[in-house]
Amino acid sequence: MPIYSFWIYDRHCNCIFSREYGTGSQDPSGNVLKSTPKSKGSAQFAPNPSYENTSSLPTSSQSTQNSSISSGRGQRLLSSASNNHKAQELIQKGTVNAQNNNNTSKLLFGTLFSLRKIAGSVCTPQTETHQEEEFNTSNLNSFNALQSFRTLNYKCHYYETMNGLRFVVVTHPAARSLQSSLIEIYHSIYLPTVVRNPLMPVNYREDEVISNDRFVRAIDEYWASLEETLT
Amino acid sequence: MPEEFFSKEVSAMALEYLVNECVALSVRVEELLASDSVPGTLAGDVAGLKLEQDKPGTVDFASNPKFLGLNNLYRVERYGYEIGYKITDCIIYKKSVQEGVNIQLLEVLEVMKFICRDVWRMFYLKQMDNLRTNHIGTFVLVDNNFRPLINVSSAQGDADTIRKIQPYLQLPCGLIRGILASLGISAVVKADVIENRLPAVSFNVQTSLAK
Amino acid sequence: MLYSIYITSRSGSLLYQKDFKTVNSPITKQRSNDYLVIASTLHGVHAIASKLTPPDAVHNYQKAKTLANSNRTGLREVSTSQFKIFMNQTVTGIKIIVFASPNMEETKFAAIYDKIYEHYCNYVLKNPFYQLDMPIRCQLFDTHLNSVVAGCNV
Repeated sequence: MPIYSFWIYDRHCNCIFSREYGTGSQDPSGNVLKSTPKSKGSAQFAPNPSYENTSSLPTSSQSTQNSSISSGRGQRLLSSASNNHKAQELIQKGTVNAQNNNNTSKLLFGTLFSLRKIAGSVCTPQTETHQEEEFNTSNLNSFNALQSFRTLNYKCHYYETMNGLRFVVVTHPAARSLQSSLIEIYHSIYLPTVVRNPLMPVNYREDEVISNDRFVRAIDEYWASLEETLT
Repeated sequence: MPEEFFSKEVSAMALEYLVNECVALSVRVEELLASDSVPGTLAGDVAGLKLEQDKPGTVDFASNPKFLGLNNLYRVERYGYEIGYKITDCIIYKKSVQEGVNIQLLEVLEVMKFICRDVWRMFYLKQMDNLRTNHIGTFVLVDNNFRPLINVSSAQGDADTIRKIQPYLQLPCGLIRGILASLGISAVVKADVIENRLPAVSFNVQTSLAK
Repeated sequence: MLYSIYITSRSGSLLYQKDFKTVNSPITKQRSNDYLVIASTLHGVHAIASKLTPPDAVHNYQKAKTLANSNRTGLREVSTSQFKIFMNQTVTGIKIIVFASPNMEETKFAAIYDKIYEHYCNYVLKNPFYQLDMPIRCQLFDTHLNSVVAGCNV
């Protein structure tokens, strides 16, 4: 059961991490990738401004553009990934941080933002006259969190932390609820490799992304290990 | 000496963040000293303690050229030296009075073992993994899983990580040098990440006791 | 458990909205304007969700067990911690949106959708006093909808 993509948005609504897992059929650079090893550290993955204006639909023209990025990246991950063959197969395809600023990313965020607002507002009483809101714990308990949305083609799982960090994963529509997985990624990958890492920022400015090797590798291995047991 | 001197009431994580912040603060102080802000006025000093576009939560200080500058490295090393110089007595007290162990610190090798075992256990909750010497004053202390570096990794890859952790390694270097100094041994301490094994660090201690 | 039913026109305007008095319903009363906002937001999100389909996933709907009707690629289900939103679209573009308890299954929704659609045809479209694309105010439709909900909320 495939996982299509994984996204992290910070509380300023910027996409600070995007990872797309493509199938091999759309990645013509797959062969090049194995024959031209690149040295570690040579490839840098800052968001490329040229991706900003690509079409809103993830069309094939876009995926060929992205494949140029994946060639360097895939090799790097490959060299350090676990020996798990399946994991490697998944990892060497797709793109890292290539889509942070394009329309797909923005539409996805907009969709989640709107649904989250509906989920929250429908459960909060709205009075005709505006009253001062009082803080009490019962308000907190009745808080309603968006968990996922689904079409017949895909399912999008959503988890928002208390400080506004948003983890999003897009999977096959028949997948089980992945809330717990997103929470686990937050706890066991994001916290140790980013928050407790003195060389990584926790506050991202525009166009800044998480391009940390160790983080990307951990995320890839996590999803690869989960692919089999998704239903 | 009251017992709570060694009570464990500090969150290891909070302390780790505080220590890491020392390095960042040191860079900012460096920047302040280099700037032409009027020294002595509080407003000038506070404003100066700020790097260009320094936002909370970012790691701009690590890309500042002064981050790896000698001044910065020496300053952080000096913090460690002061801590080490003062804390030796406390650790010896703890060993000898509280735990009733009679420790002899006459030989340099004994001192090194003391650092590997007792000092390291106190600061990093584990012992050094290996101690080697050439018997003419050089010692190599190896920690295969150096606690402060377990989570460190830079966004620009391993080479950059190893470059940028230099300031963070100065603190334990100074610590070792300070402890040795308080026991009357002058030494030069240098720390290196063991190649391709990131949380593993070797401390090279060159004492001036040539036999 | 069924909490609310919304019906929107093909342009996204709200034709019908009703919150049902169900035990433990987390849904609270909103300002009348808020219902319009919710309906049009869901209408827009339905279309955007279709645009967001990953390139590798465009054919998944062919294997889906549930009837796609004319809602092959658009939003179908939203899960939140306290309720689920199901939506389906008729061939003519009318959307029927149901707020239900989190344990509601899609197959059960499909049956409810069929009933609502049937009543919509019978008591709204066959009503000579109903003007198309205007808010639905038909008492017969109300009573039949109530019986659907009552049957579901037993």
